[in-house]
Amino acid sequence: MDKKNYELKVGLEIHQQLASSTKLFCNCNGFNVNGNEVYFKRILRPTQSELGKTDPAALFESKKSKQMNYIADTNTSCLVEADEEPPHEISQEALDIALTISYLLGSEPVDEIHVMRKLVIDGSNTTGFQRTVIIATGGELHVRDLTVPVLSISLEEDASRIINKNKEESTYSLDRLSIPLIEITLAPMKFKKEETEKIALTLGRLMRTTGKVARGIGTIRQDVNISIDGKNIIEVKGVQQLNILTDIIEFENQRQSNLIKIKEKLIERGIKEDNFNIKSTEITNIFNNTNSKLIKKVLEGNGKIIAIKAPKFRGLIGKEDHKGTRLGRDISSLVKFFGFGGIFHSDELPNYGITEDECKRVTDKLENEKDDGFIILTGDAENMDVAVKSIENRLLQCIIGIPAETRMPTEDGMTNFMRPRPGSARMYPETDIIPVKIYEEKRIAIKESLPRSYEEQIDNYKQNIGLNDKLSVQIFDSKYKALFEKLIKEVNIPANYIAAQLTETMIKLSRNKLNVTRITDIELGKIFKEIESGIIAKESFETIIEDMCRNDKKIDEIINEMKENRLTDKDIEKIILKIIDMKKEIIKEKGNDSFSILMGEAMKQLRGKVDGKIVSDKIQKLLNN
Amino acid sequence: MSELSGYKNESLKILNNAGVSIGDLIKIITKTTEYSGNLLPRYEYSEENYIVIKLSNGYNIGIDARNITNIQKIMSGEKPKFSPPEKPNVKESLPKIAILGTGGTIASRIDYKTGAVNPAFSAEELYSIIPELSTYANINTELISNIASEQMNPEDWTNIAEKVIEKINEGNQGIIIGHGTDTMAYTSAALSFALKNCPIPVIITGAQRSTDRPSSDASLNMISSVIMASKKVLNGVYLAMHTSIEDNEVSIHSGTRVRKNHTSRRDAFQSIGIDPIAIVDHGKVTVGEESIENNSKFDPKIKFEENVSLLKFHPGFNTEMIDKLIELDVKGIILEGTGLGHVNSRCNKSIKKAIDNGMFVGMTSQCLHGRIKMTVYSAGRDLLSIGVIPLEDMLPETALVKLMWAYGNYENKEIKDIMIKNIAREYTERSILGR
Repeated sequence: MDKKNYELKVGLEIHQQLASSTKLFCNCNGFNVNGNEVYFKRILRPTQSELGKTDPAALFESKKSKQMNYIADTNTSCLVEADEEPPHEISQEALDIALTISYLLGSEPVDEIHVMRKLVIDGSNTTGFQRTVIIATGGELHVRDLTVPVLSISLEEDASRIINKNKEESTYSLDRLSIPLIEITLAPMKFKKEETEKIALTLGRLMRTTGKVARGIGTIRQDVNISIDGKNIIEVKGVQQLNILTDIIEFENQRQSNLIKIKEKLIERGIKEDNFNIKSTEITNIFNNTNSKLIKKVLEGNGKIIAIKAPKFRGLIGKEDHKGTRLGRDISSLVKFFGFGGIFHSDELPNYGITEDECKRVTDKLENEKDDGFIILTGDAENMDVAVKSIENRLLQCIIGIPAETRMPTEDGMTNFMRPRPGSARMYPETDIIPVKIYEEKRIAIKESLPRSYEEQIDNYKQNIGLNDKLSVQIFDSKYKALFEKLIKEVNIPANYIAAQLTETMIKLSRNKLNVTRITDIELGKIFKEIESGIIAKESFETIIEDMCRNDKKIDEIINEMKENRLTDKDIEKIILKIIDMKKEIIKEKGNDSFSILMGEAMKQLRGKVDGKIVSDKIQKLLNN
Repeated sequence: MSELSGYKNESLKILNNAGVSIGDLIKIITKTTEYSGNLLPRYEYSEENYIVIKLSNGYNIGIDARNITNIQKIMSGEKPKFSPPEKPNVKESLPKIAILGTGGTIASRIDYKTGAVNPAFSAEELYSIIPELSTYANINTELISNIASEQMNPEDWTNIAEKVIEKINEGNQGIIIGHGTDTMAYTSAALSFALKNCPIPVIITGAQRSTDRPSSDASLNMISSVIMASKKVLNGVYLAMHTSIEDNEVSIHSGTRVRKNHTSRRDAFQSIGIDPIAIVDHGKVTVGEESIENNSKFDPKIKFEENVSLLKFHPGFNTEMIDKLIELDVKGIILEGTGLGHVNSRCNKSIKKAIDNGMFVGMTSQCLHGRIKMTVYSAGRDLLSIGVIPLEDMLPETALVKLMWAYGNYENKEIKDIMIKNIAREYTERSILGR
């Protein structure tokens, strides 16, 4: 294959959840679940465009006309998320964060922003559309010596979380619905592995300089637009981990190259768009006496078997120069969408109990010639027509080369077909919201309060606040960054200690399966305040968090308990004097060297109740007397 | 040819100078950047100085005309072509149902190029958007008016009633009326009186959630109404809307005892004091106990006297308003009193004056639920003695409509008797426990 004409280009689109105090179009907070749930069911219907037809992507989704089940926690969702009330005005806080990030990238905000409705009918938005608005255009991301142009920056609603999906129903949880997302679309760049990772990392860090973006799994997602022929773009949606990003790009490179090879082979074998002789026929009878367990199961369930002729496709359906890139795999994904298990194809048969003789009878029925192949689809008669048509279409697209698709990533760095790409963005104005002007005063205010760069902030942590290298980066990347910066101003405790608790300790606890995310910033603030006052011992931070998570205790309760059980100065001295008395023989013997023994004994009794430093000071003082 | 709809002053000037029209692909250069996209019409609620374009990625943006240094036309816009869908094959044997549109949209089409949402109303369009209809009925459609329901007046009720009679005479076995939800219950009450003893089902329905969205309640409401009408289970005037916020059940309400009780929820419409007359759920119709047989002659009376008032009493109520109404030659007043049917006694003088002037004054309660009983307290007894007529548990809005209808079709001396007679199930006989 002549690789000269093809150049792998990759355009990154980053979606980052914002940590604003409310959702984008109402006053709910998507992160504070209260456990009270409401359930309701809906059916979403496709809408019609002017052409009297529905868009292929929408039609694709609507063929299923599923029931959508929604679960709404009453603290994180209201009538707006349930599509029972018009949206409130757009969150100014979210808008300000988006403008800040726009200016950090040198993008130009538009004069008047218009919220749009973008059709989405897989059920993940209760209305059937996602509200989205473009905030700024242009700008650049600087990554060492590389400059990546920014195409656009938008603010949009996050979708609800899928809980369960089957042929008839999908179930979603609404807590995540309408949390603000910022979407940054970068211009397609020639792909270089190390660069792509660095670009995503740098952009993530830039957004985090604001301290206003959400952290944690699922709060940042990448979509990647990949194209090797510059015309047909494959969109891979929802790459959550940076480390598989480059694997996916490489996989797509191989998969798309394979499709071009298939096209070239078809042309070589004499196929053109107008002589593509595709046909399909029922072949159920051929398998009346089959030994194939899979086929027998289908026949028992009153299923049908259809064969689709794939003209000149011999060797091309199963062709796999790189793991997972074979055409057969994509066609399988395609039929799975309609509820079928998969396909059989001529390149892999005879196999699965299907004999050579049965294959010959299929090829005879299809009137196949030398280089022709076939695909077999088995299953419920009901949706078969649509599925067969979609297989035929997919084969037809092979002569064009690479069909524009939306795909999703797998955990092992491959991609699966998800749906055909919509013809053009199906967007129309959200007329419930009046367009918002971005006035000069707002622009100036935002520009004057831009956060310092990543390097400057890390430097500040190290030089001015005294954090070590590791903690500096950890706290910067953590969801507690803003809380940390607030605490070091308000509370007189060493910054290293605070940072370590908020990062290392919290991470450690969450690895032990504790749900530390339910602990709010306010609660954490109270803990540190009481550490400052001495009510809570420094060593107790971990046990307190654990207590709150495991036993569902409130921080006020714990603080009151501690206050009641608090040991006064006199109490502490009494205990230490008792220990000194107990160990007086050893003290006589060892003198000041007995300190560690005394300390050990004292901490046995006092750990978690009194700060270690206070204990050691007391022991020193009383020893010297 | 330059239809630059919505643009004025500065923006209009700059667009005219560039010689561009709505739909054209244009390039706009501002002091700081440049954009290209298709020119859109100006929005209703925006300031004059902003020009709106649709970018190639589908997003709309507004550009301050005062920042624009240059506009160039790249390409002329194409007029959007609409190809109407084909009519499906509908079995001739299915019941003939007429669907009348008054302005509340039942279905829409979206032009993504301009963002316009256009109502879709022909039978072909309805079958195309709601294919289920073709399994239940042979529909024919007519757009009688195109007004938002809060703009409707009593004469519109008369027009609708006339159309309904026309459709009955054309042999339709059921009639569905698409209506905006704001005053839907007023219209259903009006038609309940005007078309008393209607020989076919007449069902008013609409949508709380706009029909351009995939989640709209319009389709289920329409399908359920058609099912209800086609099964010929009950004749008369009803209102059909979602029972809950879920897409399963649709309630068929009595036209005189239903009210819109929420600004936006799908289940805003509720029957008060009775259960809905029937429920449609997954194609099945279940008729409740409240349905009544009707064998009397259909003798429509479709006029309405507009000059009637509904007054909501409240503390600090200015009694001079009643005096003013007398001056304005208002024919009758429905009072929305408090509790069991009371007003501040300082109003009594003006009320007596109105009654002595020949006005009908009837009492309902702003509690909405429950029956009035004006003999219990002295405030009520005093009102009774000056001639205020208690209207049991009729809803205030229904009482207003009924009074307009009474004055439209009967002599003054008949008004009181008509008002206290239970004509279209506007009164309940019993106050049911546990509701």
